Order: sequence, then C-alpha cells, then structure tokens
Amino acid sequence: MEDNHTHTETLLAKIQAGEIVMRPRAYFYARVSALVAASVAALFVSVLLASFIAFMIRVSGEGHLLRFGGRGLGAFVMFFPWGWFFLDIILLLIVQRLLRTFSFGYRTPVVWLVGGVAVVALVVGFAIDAARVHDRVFERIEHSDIPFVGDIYRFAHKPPPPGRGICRCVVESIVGDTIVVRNDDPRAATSTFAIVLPPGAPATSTLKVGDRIFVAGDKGPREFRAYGFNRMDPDHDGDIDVVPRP
Amino acid sequence: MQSETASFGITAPADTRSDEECAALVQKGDHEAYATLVHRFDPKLMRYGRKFLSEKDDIEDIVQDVFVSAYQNIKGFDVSQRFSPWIYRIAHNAFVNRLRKQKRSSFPSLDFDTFLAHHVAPEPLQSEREQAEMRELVERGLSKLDPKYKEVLILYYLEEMSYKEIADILQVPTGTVGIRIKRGKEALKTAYQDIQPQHGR
Repeated sequence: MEDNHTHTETLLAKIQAGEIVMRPRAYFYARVSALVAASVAALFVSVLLASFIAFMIRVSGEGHLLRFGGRGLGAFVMFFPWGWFFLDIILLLIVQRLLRTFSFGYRTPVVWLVGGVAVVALVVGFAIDAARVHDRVFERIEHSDIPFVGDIYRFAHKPPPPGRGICRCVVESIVGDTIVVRNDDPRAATSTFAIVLPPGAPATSTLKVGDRIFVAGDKGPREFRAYGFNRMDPDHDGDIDVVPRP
Repeated sequence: MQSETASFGITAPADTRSDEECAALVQKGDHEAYATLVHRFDPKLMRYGRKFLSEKDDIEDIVQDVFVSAYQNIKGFDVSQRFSPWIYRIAHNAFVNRLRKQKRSSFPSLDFDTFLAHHVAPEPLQSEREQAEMRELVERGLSKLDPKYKEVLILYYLEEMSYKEIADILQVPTGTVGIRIKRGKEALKTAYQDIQPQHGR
C-alpha cells in the first residue's frame, strides 16, 4: 500500500513538473477527422466499385444470362467478376472496422453494420450505374491512352472469352431458325459464324439484320447451338463501339 | 509521510465535485483535480486489475500507466459523458494488452457474440442479500471462467456498472453485454456445482 502511494506521488509529481503532458485538443480533432475521412473515402471507393461491377455486367451482356433459366444462372455465376466483388467485400469490411471506432459503430451488431454499409454501397452503386456515369467516362477515355483507368474500362467491355459458350454479336442474316452473326468486337477470335436458335424461338419475328444480340449456347463443330438469346438494347446495355488497341 | 493529497493542497474526502467536473478542470490545467481523480480511481482500477490479471503481474505499474495515458488523453474525453467508463476502457485495453503480450489470453479478435442483435432484458432488481451472494459467487468462481464472461461479470457485479457502461468499456453492443452476463452466470453456476462436491468430500 505504501509502495502504491509512492507510485501515485511520483506520477502526480511528474505531472506537476510538466514531465507528463496532455495531448492538445487539436490532436483529437485531427484523429477524428482522419477517421471520418478514411471511412468516407473507403465507402466512396466501395460504392464506385459496386457501380463498376453493375456496369461490367450490363455492358458485357452477362446480365442477360439470368433470363436463360438454370443453365444461364450457372453461366452467370461462372462469368461473374468475383475478383472485383471480393475486393469490394474487403473494402466494406474496412469501412465497418473504421465505423466501429465510433460509438454508434460498436453499439451496432456487426451483421447490421456490414449489412447497412453493403445496402448503401449497392443502392448508390446501382443508382450511379443507372445514371450511366461509367458509360460517359468510358466514352471520354476510350480513344485516349490513359493508363490503368483506360485499361480497366476496356477490360469491362472485353468480348467474352472464345469457346466459353457465350457471345455478343450483330445479326447479319436470318434463315429460319438459323442466324448468321458476326462478333461485335473486332478483338474476338471468330468474326462470322452461324447460330441455331432454340426450337420454337420466334427469331424472325423479333430479330432483324443489324440487331446486337447476346447468345448463350454450346459451340458445335459447324455451328453454335443456343439455349438462350436476347436482343441487346442500346439504351440499357450501352452502345459502345470498342476500338481495338493499337 | 506526507499524503499525496496534502502535497497538492486538497483533501480528497471533502471534494464533492463529480468525476466529470474534475475531468473538466483537469482539461483546463488543474493538476489538483487530477489528483482527486487518481485517488478515487486508483483502488478501483487496482481491484479490477487483480481480478483480470494474475498476482504475478505488476498491476501497480500497469495502473500507473493507465493514469499516465488517461492524463495524456484527457482532452479527448467528452465531459458530457461519464468519466468512469472512459478510464475503465483505458484500463481494460492495458490489461488485455498485457495478457496478449504474455500470450496468456484467449480473448478472440473476432467474436460472434457481437455479430447479431441479442435482446436480453436487464437483470431484475435483486435484494442486497442476493446481490451479495452473487458477488461472492463471482469472486469464487472467476478463475474457472472464459475471459470474455469473466470481464462482464467483474464489471457488472463487482464494479457495479450498468449494461451501457460495460458496452462502452468493452466497445460491444449492449445486447452482447446482456447475453454474456447471462451465459457467464450459467457457466459460473456449472463451475460452482463442480466445486461443491469437491468441498463436500
């Protein structure tokens, strides 16, 4: 007990002598400001990433796969940009970690906090995509040589990998249930090929030469047998002509 | 020996100012007000430390470090809030850091108790006798408990903090405090039942 009194005495004497000093109030304001800025910045990047994922799915046409039944759903899962998605999840976890330094953050259960931040990122992300922000950015930079950002946008609009069972193409001719198409991207491996539409597909009544379509199917030795196709809407899917890189 | 209170020209027992009033004075540079706070919280933090750490730990040194840290950071304390959870938070971090440094801790960095909302009604009012019994049970069975249950029971029964104050100290949702107290009491009863037959032999 005597020892403890000596400790306390020493501590208070050090304070009195100015050996132990208080941090200024500005330090705490700066710390809180830095935390708020970091949280807002991480949330902003997360929202931007969510909107970019929505943009990628829309302009690549892969969103159409969701209308092609079970096989389409499987293909959608396979082509989903999981790398970007997991990057966004990491950012959301960083945001929730930063928010937990504030009292409202640690008082909220983790699931609610992560869920709330994810809902904000998704809603604002989809709103940004619906406002066609990325389409306008892409139009501006597609002819320029801006490194990194330009590459990311060109990557978003890249043609589907050859032989993976999906294609984005333009109708050149229609004969019964067979249509001849060319890839809408000059970077694609095969430029012109025939697609056999699913039995009973009202191809001639709904399609016309020049339409851009998104097709999912099985590549055969002579033709591509589709299990689902959809006409792409320039207003919804974006009407971007991709210029091959020099 | 001259008492430390006397050396600052104040008499702690006569000081009727609240902790928050003292903290506000310290923020303005009043060292004597800090001496009052040290005298008020030194025995409490020592007791908290003794429950949290083992006898081998130099609890006095850790508590002194807590007071140094509290003084350095006192301008970050919001005087409209209660001072007690704020300084206990600093002490809690210091004790947990000591346990982690010695790798004696099983404090999880990811705790599923904080994931979901738990609706736990606050403890019903207990009589003095019931509370004393519970305090004794907590004192006797603490060593058997998981640290995450141990800390809430110490704060609730021995330090007499509210759920909200404990939530602020541990930085977890209030529902998590409730569920840990409930589970801690159950674990304590099980531990006590295990102890009883051994005592009977």
